[in-house]
Amino acid sequence: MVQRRGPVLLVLCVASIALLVTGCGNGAKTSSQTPATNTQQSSNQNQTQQQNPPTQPPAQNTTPSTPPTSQTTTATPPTQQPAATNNTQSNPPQNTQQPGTSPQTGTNSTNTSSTPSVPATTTPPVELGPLKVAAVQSFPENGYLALGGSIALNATIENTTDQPVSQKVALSLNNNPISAQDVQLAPHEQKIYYFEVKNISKIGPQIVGVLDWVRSLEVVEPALDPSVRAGQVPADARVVSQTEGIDETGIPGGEVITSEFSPPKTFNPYASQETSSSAVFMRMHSFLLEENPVNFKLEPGLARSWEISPDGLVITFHLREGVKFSDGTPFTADDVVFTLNDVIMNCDIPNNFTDSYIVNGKHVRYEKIDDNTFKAILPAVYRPFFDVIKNDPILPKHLLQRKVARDVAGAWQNYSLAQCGFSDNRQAFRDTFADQLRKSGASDPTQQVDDRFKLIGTKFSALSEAIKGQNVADIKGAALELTTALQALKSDLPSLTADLQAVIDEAVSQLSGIEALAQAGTWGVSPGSFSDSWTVAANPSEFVGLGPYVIKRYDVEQQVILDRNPYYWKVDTNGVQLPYFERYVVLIFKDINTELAKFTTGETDVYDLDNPLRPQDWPQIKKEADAKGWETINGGPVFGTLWVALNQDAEVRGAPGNLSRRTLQEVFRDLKFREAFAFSVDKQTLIQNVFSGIGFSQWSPVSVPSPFFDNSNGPDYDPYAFDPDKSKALLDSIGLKDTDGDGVRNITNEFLKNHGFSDADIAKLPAENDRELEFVLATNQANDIRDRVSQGLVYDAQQVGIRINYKPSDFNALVTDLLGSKYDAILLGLTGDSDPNSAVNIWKTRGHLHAWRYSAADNPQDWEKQVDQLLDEGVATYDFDKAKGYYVEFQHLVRDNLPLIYLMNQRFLYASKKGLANNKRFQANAYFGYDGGRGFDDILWWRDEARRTETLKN
Amino acid sequence: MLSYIFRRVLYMIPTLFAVTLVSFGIILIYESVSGTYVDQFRLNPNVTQETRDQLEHQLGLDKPPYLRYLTWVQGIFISTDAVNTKTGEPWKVWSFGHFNLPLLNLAIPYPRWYPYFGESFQNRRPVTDLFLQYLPFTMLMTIPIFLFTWLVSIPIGIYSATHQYSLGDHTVTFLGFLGLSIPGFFLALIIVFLLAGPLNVGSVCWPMEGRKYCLGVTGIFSQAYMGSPWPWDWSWGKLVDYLWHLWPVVLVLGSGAMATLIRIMRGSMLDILGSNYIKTAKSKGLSDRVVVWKHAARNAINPIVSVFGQFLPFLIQGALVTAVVLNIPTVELFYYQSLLNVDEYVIVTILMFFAFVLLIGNLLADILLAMVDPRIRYE
Repeated sequence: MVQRRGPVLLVLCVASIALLVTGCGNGAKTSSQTPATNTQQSSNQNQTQQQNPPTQPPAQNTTPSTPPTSQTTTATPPTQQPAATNNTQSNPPQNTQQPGTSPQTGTNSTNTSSTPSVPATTTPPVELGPLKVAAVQSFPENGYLALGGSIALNATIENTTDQPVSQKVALSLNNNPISAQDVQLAPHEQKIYYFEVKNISKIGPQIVGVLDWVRSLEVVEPALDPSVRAGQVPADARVVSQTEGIDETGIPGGEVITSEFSPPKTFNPYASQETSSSAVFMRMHSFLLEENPVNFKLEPGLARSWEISPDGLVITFHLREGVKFSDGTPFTADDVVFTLNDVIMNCDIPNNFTDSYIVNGKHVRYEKIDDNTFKAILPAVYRPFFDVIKNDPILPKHLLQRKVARDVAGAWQNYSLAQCGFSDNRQAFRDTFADQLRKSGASDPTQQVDDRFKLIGTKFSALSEAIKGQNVADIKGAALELTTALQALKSDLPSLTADLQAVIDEAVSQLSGIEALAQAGTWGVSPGSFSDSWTVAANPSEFVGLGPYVIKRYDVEQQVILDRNPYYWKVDTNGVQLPYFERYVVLIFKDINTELAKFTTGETDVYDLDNPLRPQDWPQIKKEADAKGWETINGGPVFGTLWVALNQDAEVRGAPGNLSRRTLQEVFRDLKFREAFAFSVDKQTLIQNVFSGIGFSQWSPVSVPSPFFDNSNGPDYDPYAFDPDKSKALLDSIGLKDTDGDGVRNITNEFLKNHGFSDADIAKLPAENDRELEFVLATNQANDIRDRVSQGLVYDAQQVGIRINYKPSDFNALVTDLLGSKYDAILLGLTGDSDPNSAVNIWKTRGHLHAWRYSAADNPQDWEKQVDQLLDEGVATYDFDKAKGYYVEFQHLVRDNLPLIYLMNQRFLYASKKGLANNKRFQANAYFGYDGGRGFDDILWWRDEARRTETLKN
Repeated sequence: MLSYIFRRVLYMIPTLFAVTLVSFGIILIYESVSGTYVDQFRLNPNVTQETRDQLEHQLGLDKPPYLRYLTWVQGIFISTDAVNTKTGEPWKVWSFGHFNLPLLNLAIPYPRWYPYFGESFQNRRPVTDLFLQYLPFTMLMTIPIFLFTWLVSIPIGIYSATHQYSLGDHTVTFLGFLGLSIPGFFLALIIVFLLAGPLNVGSVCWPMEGRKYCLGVTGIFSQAYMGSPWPWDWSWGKLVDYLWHLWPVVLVLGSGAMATLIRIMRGSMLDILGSNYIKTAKSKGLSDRVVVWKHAARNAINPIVSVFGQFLPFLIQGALVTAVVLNIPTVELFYYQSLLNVDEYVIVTILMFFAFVLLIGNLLADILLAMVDPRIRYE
């Protein structure tokens, strides 16, 4: 028989719903009637136990109850419990019955006798901290009977302590959460709790008996009481005060439903190359440093404080103590060092973050000092370090380390260490090699270097294919070839530094170990494993983070459900743990009209007009706001820029030797032409027509909300405000005149002669009257805003005598043209960051996105050299004011030399239902572009009590 | 008959491979112009050349196209269940004896009962996994549309023919053409606008299954009932919710299809009704009902059965814009998103599936034809 350690009892009735309708003794109840069912059955427990010991197959007697295995908080004893009155106040509505008040209905015998044909099933008792789950009983005995429907089970739970208990108890199978109930018990009280088990088929065909369902019972999280929540908060919790956006402190509870435009592609922050996924999953993460949402200055996050060594090369971070991941595992410096060293700086894991930590070709390194301290060792003073580290979500080492090739012993580990060691230092090897070749007078050093490294690259590929094939002979061969190639490189390069020689020796020694590991069949995990984990199809129980919410479910292309992290490390000024919401739902849309319709019908609570930009909805929303009960929020300028690039390399890179391309190139290279073009754009009219009047004009390469933006001239400053007369005068002055009277200016001989064309060149070109001042403006198709702005530009240019032929084109084709300098003019935008250094690839003359003038890499103009220098200086100081000085100068240089014609952008627009408190602080966010996708939602709460206490759905 | 079906199925195999070959070729042409999946990150200042190279290597895009294609084809045939017991690693490898050609090195992420069609670049998951996530939603849309259009159009077509040029006939014809000429996405937008705006259905609420339920627009379920698309997981509330979300879909996609079916049925019925044997039947004194339903309708149904072959693929594919507007995660939507991202293996796999549905549809139509018309025999 079942061992019983207390006055317990239990059991059950199986009410089934949906397709399978069987009855309890006292009549079939549907799931929505559970409280009533509970009440009836919770009476007479003792009698039931005495009179009707649950029948149980012998095999099940011997089955020990599986200890809870999931990563939830089983081991956590409930902390200091507050007064029982608190508990009762916060009782969720479904648990309002009090001990002793249940009507006595004496249903125990009915239960069993009325369903004699179906044997009941019980489990052995399970201890859950202070709780004892005496038994759970359910039938039918075989799960397959219930496949396709839902079943219900009742469990008797007893509080074995002298303290009141308020916890959540969950049923799970193989870590799949099945059903949960909030359990609130006075000292030594016991009650029957009802669990509804839905979606049986989801659990899979492996179920042989209902018993399997209930073997593993666990406490998953504390119940809703705010003071209990406070019990989970680390002593060192971050207090979020008014300066960080809390206008009014809140009351926890409820859920909020928001929407996103594009479906997530992955939930792995280091596998996502595009930012559209991040808005959803970043809520699951926290960061070492944070950006104040009001003034965009850095503030402590998971790192409580930090200090910079006198030489600026070592930064020591002190972490908050007592912080835990959402599964209850303590957070330590190990997690930080794992994330930064083994994930971000790992060449196996292609991610967008690595590059930010490479300073002068060298990697930043991280070392753990103790559990709460680590240091970053920089190769040089590097101010943006703080800016980039604030974007890096910290991952749980205890779950993800086994997905990282270099951390799991095996052939792949050796391969990965050898390959990354080599490729991390590739640039140094190449430089040494090229230097040496040059000294020895080789004819084409770059080509030789390329060939040599390509050869080594193919040998690495061959080895990786061989390991993938798990063929020992192949592996041996490939490793040998690779070793030979590396050693040949070493012996060919006597000038290698000792460090670089050590890199090769290390790679060779790793390779020598591969064969033995392969022979032993120890493979480890392949280098792609990390990027293949935490995909959208992953089991949600795998997701663990430090952020305010944790992903609980993803319904493909429909919604992402995030539940609050019971261990979140922030509190409000009252000491109430954040976030206030129990649940955060993100619905996914593909069409902006649909998204607006959903907001209109009240199915979503917030609507942002920022991603993608859709200012055209603003007037309608404003108009209906009062009638519908909405609040509208105009959150100021967004990050990001919109500009036109004029190809100043049309001939030299795009079509060498082509004279007509050269004329265009010379036109674009003339600063006066670019100024004339800038003056011709009627930005205010475009803002009225395209941005519904709520945009702002731009002039600077730095985003307006950034603290580095030069706002000394006021917010409305525009050095190139619409001035068609000035534009015409400028064009006239450089010899771009309408010679044939057709309304379009011509490129005159005078202009050509002033720009280095010989008479012979001019003779080869068409006659002056046929050389119209016209060019093609391209932008990516299917972008409504850019489409309308482009058409505005065409009209404005026409007014000053420039003919623009507008050509929307496929984005990829556009990029190919842009990078190959095979375009005339392109209208594009860039998402901005608060730190201008993030755009270094665009602005440095050697940057791979310096697309309007790649030739500047070999042949920079004076101001471009100055920009290169300013950008270097801006990085090499930790003094904000000093750095800002450099960046202001950089902005002025760009303004005066106009390599890009900046246009305009919209303000951050938002609408939400009334009653959503603290929503005023929703605003543009630097890294993710919009809506504070990084846990800023943790301070929202419902003033409306009905919304706060509403039963959570799903 | 059986041997005929068997032959037809055999013919499908080379046809399907021809389809994959052609579609892969077209993707390659596109890639040569606009670049591959990895190339779309070229304009992202955060994605460096090294990152893109590494990504290309992991995704296999650094291999020549013919190897990529052959690897994909190979995966379809070789979905071995052999488990690497030594490491317990989830991926597996198949290699052909000692001839360890690179193209034969294929890591199969999980043992599956279905073929392995490669992995999606964007999602880093096997294509089949992802495809099966979208398929049920397509079915939830198309099966009701199918039943509705066919069950309603055939009787209407017959009515139209038997009451030629009557008011009813004109009305039906008018409505049919109206449905045919309004683009689906436009009708969908109008319906969404009407429901959300003037009709304000969001304010219609009642208690259901223990919570407040309000009518919503678009989607196939409202937020509270999202989740498992399989009907056996549903509660009654979810069924109500589904039916509420279903009718706009049926209206939008069914209206166009119905017009076609009605016209075909009407025309073919009129043809038959004018023939001599119908006159004979009538002159024998048979009742109108028997003449129309037993003598005429059974013979008039042939053309409409032939249409069935094209109807099946239409249902699976033909509703992209509508699916976008109505926010339903259909296979077609998945295909479209993959096209935008040049997700090679997804595109080829789904195109192959579309071709397969077309072939199956035609085969079914031919079999049905033989069943409804005893004069048709396949040798």
